[in-house]
Amino acid sequence: MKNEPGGRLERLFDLARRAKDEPSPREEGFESRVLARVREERERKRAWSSWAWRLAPLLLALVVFLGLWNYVSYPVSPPDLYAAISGGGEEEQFVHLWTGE
Amino acid sequence: MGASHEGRPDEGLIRMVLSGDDEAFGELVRRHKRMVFGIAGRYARNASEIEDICQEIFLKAYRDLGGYRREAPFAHWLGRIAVRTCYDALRKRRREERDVSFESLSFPPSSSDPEKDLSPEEAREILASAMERLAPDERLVVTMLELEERTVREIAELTGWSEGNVKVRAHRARKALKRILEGDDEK
Repeated sequence: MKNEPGGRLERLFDLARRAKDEPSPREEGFESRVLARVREERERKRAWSSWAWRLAPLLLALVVFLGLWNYVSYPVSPPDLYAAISGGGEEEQFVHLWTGE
Repeated sequence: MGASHEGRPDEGLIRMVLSGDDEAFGELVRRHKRMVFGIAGRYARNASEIEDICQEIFLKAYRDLGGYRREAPFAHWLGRIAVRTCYDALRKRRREERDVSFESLSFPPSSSDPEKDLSPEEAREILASAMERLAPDERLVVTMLELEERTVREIAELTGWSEGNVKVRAHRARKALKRILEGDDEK
């Protein structure tokens, strides 16, 4: 049995189960460190949301400015593309008809 | 932590945390840290890794506390988070150290009867070294089944895998461990 890997495994498990779980020295003051991280995370979130709120008017102004700039730069709407294409075709057909080409 | 928190049940503390009382969360951590350190200690390699995993577990618990439904005791809910966080840590470690050579793992000097004079701590160390070579899911299952002596159903609840899946993984893990202990793994 001793040399069988299965038996060996069982013996190892059996022994290992008897090993005591010693408290880790890191448990000392652990809750304070966790709370510090919780607060740090909350502060980071708060900083992000306050920046987002501060940036909101700026973004709004940018959108308005771009809209106005677009309106001022292109006051007349461009000609209708379909009309331009079909208009050109009619003219071509008219030339074909009269020239006989 | 404040004395006013000490006698309160977990549910009362959770309500206080949700209404913004951090100290109540500190009390929850103080109460359950032993259990969480016990779980993380089976998968981490050193004290600093245990600390990192445990902090991650409690931070996740803090973030998800609003989702705790009180259907099971808080310790069960926290245990589930702990097991999943340990599994994630194992997978992350596996990705980082894809080529851990078997020779680099430390085993106590072998003799003709290797387990004859082993202490429980040494046996645990040998198993931990051998389990470093298992896939994360196999290691998780075999640890919970053989060292923590949990039932298949409990493991299924903690991991979210089906019972059949847990059995298959346990079978695979034991087979792989036997092979590792035989020393045939490198063939």
